Amino acid sequence: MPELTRRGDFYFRARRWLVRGFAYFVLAAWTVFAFYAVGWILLSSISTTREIFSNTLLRSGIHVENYVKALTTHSMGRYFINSCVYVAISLVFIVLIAGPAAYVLSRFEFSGRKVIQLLFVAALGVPGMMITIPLFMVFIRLNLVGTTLGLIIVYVCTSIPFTLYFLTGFFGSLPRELEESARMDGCTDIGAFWRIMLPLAQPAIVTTTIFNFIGLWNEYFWALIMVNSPTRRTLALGLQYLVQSMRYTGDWAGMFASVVIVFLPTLILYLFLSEKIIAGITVGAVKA
Amino acid sequence: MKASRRMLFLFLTPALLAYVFIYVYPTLQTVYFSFHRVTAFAGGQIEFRGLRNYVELVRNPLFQEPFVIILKWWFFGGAALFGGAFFFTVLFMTGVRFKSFWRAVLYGPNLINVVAMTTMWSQYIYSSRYGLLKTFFEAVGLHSLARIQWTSMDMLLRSVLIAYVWGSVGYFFVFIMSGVERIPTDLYEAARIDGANTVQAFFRITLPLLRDVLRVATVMWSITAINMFAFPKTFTPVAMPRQTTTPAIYLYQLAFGTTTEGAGEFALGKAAAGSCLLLILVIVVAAVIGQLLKERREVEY
Repeated sequence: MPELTRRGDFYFRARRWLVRGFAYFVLAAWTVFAFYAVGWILLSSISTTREIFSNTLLRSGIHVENYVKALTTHSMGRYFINSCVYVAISLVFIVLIAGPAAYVLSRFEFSGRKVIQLLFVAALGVPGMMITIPLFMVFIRLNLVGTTLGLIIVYVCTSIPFTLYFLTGFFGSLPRELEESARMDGCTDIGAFWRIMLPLAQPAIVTTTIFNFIGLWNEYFWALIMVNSPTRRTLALGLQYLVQSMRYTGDWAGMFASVVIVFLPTLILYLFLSEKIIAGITVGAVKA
Repeated sequence: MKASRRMLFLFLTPALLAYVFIYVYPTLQTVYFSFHRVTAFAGGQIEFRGLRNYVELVRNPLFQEPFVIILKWWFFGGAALFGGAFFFTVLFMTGVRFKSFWRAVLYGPNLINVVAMTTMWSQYIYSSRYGLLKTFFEAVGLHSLARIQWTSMDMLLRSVLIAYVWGSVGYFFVFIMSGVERIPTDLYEAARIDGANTVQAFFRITLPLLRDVLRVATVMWSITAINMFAFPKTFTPVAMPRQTTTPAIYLYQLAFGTTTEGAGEFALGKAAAGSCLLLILVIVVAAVIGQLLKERREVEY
């Protein structure tokens, strides 16, 4: 920055430093709070319930058995597998359905294209309760309530609008010459998609899949309605029932271990991919 | 470019079918149910009852209260979220270092599962026995603050909102900050030469040029607030207090019979009517905000 030579330069700079110091103070305080809270949860998950209540975490050493108990007695292991199955299968089908649709919607002219795009954007604003009752009736008729397939269908269908919106923006930004040269080389238009466009779209597909993973891993509403049974619950539902039962079991250490089991996968993901995830949100803002 | 019919059909049909199955059919059906008596999810009777579902619902204080709660949630939560997001934006504009680290910390809570988040707040941070706030205020000698019962009924809505804002402010911050970063820096340099300070630059340059970003952010926030469900629902896992019952929670209870009012012969029809009212509210609010913060193209860079 060029040196300012006017009078009052000293005060000007002093105030800048003061303001910046204040900024550091606020950001540091916020960070300490966040790390302290999460750190306490981590430490309490390897302490005993008695230590949690007397604020003497780790006094009697590390208790890994909290995790064993959470995974077995409190069934969090089973719910962990349930969540993995629901989310993993859904993620595959979301891309398989939304990917091709986003491709034709972003790169070809045909009547009704704008309307279809608008319809999918509108879906992002539909309240969950608006579709719940009829959907639940259909699922009863099809014997899908309380099944793995049922929840996956809901997850896939409700994730398509966002994925489509995100991928449409990406496909639209690829150069036109790509398909033309593919066609010159004798590719069919469908072949050009699978062999050229889909591999090129990989970064965007990875980003949407990360977002969908986070969204579905943390999903609560549909799981509550569709798979609320002791064997089919998701991790989030399982944790909630555990917290509800604290009055009877009193196993607070096991509960905090379960909290860690629930948030650890996304937290680890975030440690590696925070830049990519944050960049992904800003794409939405730019498109606005 | 033109696409072959075969490709259009093959590529679009699955997505459109999913759309019709999950949005179009259920939405139309809910509108239909809202004018009827629907006695059960399976094998029940359906009977026309005109607007009575709506009238009875709107007159019911149990349905009115949640709207007052969500209005407070929208207003105070929105003020805190946008205020906080702008506050952090200004902090970032003072030239602090390690920006990507601070930003990652601010955004981080958005990735935490809602149940893990509400459990962390209700069972630890707000705990009256070993809670973070209690031990902190005791350690610094603020005993009156340490005695606050954060999860008592008269404090509950405020406490849930504080927890919610703490977890979500990073999202709005990143969203707004990304808009700020696209404003050309020479504007700020020109302003600085003219003697404007950071605060003036913020109100004269940043805010007016953020119109479009702000419109999207306020619409998103309003829709989120109107549909608020999981956060207040899981914050109090044992019993749902009236203090934090949002319209979506109330309608869920009505439809799935987890309250004395639910499971009645009119419950499903009324829940459908309430859902339609929520949808209408979403549409109206989105239209009003869109109109208030209309795209303006006369802004010159």
